Amino acid sequence: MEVTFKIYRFDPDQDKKAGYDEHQIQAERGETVLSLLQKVSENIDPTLAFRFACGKVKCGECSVNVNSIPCLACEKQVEPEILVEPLAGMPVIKDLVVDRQKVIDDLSCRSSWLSKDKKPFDTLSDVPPSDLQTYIKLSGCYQCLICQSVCPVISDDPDGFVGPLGLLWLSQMVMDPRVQFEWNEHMDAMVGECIECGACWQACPAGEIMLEKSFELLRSKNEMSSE
Amino acid sequence: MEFERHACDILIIGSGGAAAMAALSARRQTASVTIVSKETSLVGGATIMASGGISSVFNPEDSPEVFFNDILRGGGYLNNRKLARILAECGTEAVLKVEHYGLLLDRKSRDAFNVVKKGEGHSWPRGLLDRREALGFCHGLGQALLTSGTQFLSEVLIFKLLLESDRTVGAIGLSLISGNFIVFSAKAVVLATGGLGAIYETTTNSDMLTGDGYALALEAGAALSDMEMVQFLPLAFPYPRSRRGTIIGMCSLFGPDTRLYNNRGEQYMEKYDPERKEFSTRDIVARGNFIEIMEGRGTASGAVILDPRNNDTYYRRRFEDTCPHIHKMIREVFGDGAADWKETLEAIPSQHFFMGGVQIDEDCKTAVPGLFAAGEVTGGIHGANRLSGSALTEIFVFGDRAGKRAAVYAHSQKKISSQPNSVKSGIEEAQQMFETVNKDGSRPFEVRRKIKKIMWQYFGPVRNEADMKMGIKKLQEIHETDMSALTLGSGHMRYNRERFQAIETLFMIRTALLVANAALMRRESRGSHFRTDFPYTNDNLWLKNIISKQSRDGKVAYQTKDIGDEAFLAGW
Repeated sequence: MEVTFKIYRFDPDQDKKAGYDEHQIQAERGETVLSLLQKVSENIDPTLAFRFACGKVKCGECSVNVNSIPCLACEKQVEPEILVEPLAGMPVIKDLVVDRQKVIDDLSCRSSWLSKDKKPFDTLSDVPPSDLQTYIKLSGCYQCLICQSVCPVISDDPDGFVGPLGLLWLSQMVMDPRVQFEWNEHMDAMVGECIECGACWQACPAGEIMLEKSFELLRSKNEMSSE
Repeated sequence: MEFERHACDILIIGSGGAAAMAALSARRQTASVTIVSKETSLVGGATIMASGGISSVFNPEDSPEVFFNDILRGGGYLNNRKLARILAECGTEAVLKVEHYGLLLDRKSRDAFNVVKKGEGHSWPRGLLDRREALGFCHGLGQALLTSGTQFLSEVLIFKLLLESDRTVGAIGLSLISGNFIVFSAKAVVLATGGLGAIYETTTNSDMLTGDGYALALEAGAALSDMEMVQFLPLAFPYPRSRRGTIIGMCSLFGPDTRLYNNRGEQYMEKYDPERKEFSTRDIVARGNFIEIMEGRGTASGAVILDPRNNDTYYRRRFEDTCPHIHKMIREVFGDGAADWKETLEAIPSQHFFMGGVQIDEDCKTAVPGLFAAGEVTGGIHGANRLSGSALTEIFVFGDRAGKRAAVYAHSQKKISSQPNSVKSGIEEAQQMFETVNKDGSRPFEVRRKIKKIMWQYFGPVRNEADMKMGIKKLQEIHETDMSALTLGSGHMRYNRERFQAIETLFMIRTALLVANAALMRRESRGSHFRTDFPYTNDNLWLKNIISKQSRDGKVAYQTKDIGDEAFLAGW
C-alpha cells in the first residue's frame, strides 16, 4: 500500500513555527505507524524525533495523534493517508516528542492524595471482592497521557485541573482499603471541575471502562460528601 | 569540555522493577537516590512487558525447599545456590512489599493470593497472575517513586562507569533530550539495566534491552557468568512483521489439553520430551519448535501450530482474564476464531530472557567495590534455564536487597570525585562516535540489524561448532570494521536518538561477543544451551560456570570455575 505520510515538525532550537513534511511510503498490511516513523528516520530524514520504548503496546510512551485522533503509534495500523502530530496540549520537545516527565511531575505535585500513607502489613490485606473488581478496572493504565491530552477542561485551565489521570489516581486511593482516607473540599472541587464530556473515556487505549468507572466512583463520593 | 553535573549518594541505572525496588528500599535509609533511565516510564523496561505472573511459595503445602530444588533442576544445577535459595525463601515477602509500596495485587478472594497457574518445571502452582498483567504493579511502583523523593532522570543513557582506585565513584551519561553529557558522582552505583533481548532478531523484549549493563560491568572489571545461557520462549507471534516475536507465552497458559503440531499433523513434542510433551520446560519446547520449523516441518509462514481447542472453557476465560493484552493481539492477528479457541493459532519461538550476567554475592555486590547489581543483568540465580514467573520474583527480591545493601555501603563511605582526565577521555570517546556524520560507514540501525541476524542464526536455540565459529567471525568483523566506521545521519543535539543507538550498538556487539564466545566454549548441552554436536549434558566436564572477565589490556578471558567457587567476587 502506498501511504501519504504527513509528519508534524518543530525544533525549538531552529524553528519559529511548526511545519509539516510529507512522504510517499510503501507499507505492508498490518504495519504500524511506529514502523513507518522508523522507516522515515532510517531512510529519509534522520533528524525526525519521535519517542517509543517497548514497541509492543505496553509502555504507552509512543502516544501521538494520528489523523487528529490520539493513539499508540505501535498499535495503530497504517491507512492510505496519515497525518502524525504530537499529543495536543503537551509541551513539545521536538517534532512528535512531548515532555512526558514534566507532565507527570507537575501532576504528581498537584495530586496530594498520592502521598497517602498505606498501613504497614505483613500479610495480604483484606479487600472485599466487589471492591477488588472495581479496583482492578481502575488500575490497568498505560500512562500514555492521552486522557490528559484530550481533556477540554485542562486545555482551558492547564495549571488548575488535575485531569482524568489525576482523578484516576484519586479513585485508586479511594478504593484502597489500606489508605486512611478523608474526603476534603479540594477533592470535591477537583471532581466538580470535570464536565463529564467523555472525551478521555473514548480516547483511552486501555478501554473506556477505566476512566468511566473512576469518574462514577468519585462522583458518588462527591455526592455523599455534599449530603 | 562542557557537561552537566549530578551528585547523589546512590545512583541506580535502569528502567524496570529492579531499579524501582532498589530506589524505594534505598530511600528508606539514604537522603539522595537517583534513577537514570533510558525511558520516560517510571517503571518500564522489561518489567512492563511481563505477563506470565510472579512465582513464589504461596501454597501452604509447598515450601521454599521444594521451590529451591525446582529452581536448581530447571537450571541444570548451574545455579549459584546461595542466590537461588534467597529467591526461593524471600519471594513471598518481596511480593507483599510490592503491594505495600504500590497498588493492590490481584486476589483470589478477600485476602488470598490469586495463584492460578502451575507453570512448567514447578512442583506446585506458584504463578500469581494479575488481570492487569504487569501494568498494575509497574504503575503502583511508579506512583511510589513519585512520592518517595527519588530523583528520576528520564531518557539518559549511561555509557561509562567512573572508577577511582578500582572503586565505582559515578558514571557518565548522555541526555537524549538536550544532547548534553551528564557526569554523575555517587558513593554507590546499582546496575539494574535488564537483559539483552535486542541483540536477537526475534525477541519478546523491547528494543531498549541492548545489554548495556554487561558491557558497562565488564569494562569496569566485574566478572560475568554463564553468558551462553539465553532463554527462548516457545510461543510468540510469527506475523505481521511489526508483531513478530511478541509474546504469546507457554502452553500451560492455554490449559492442559493444549497441543503443538507441525505441518504433517504430528504432535512432535512427543519426540523431544515423551513424558511432559507440550508442558516440558521452556528450553525444551522452544527448541522443539525451532527444530520443526528449521527442518521444514513448519507452516507456510514458518511457524508451528498451536491448538488450544480441546481445553475446557474455564481456561479460555482464565486466559482472557489474566492475559488481556495477549488475547487482544491474538484477535487482531489471527481473527475471532482463534481468539475464541475455535481455530488454531500459529507460533514461533522468541528470545525471552537471559540467565547469564554480572556475578553478585548475597549482598548484590559485584567484583568491583561500590558497584551493585540486581535483576536480569545479574547471572547465576537461574543457572542454565529459568522457570516461569521467577523473573519478576527475582527483581522484587534482589532489587530490594541491592538498594538496602547499597545504602548501608554508602553510609560507610566518603564521596570520592572522579579525576577530570577519566571524565574527559570518557566523553571524548563518545563524541568521536557522534562526529562521524554522513560518511561511508554503516548507520547504527544497519549494524544492529546485522548483529540481530547473526545472533538468531548462529546463537539461537540450536547451536553447533562450525556455525558458531562462523558467527564469531562475523561479529568480530562488525566489531573491527563497522564499529570504527559507524556513521550517523545527523549531527543535531536535541533528541538525536541515533546518538543513543550508536552507543547501544557498541554495547550490543560487546555483549554479543560475550554470548558467542561462552557458547562456543561450552562443549555440551545444558538447559537453554543446546548443541547438535554435543547433544548431551556432561556433568563430568561441564558442571561448571564459564566466567568472562576483561583484563587491563582490554582482552576478555573466558575460564571455567566450579559451582560455588567465589574466587571472582572480591570481598569488599
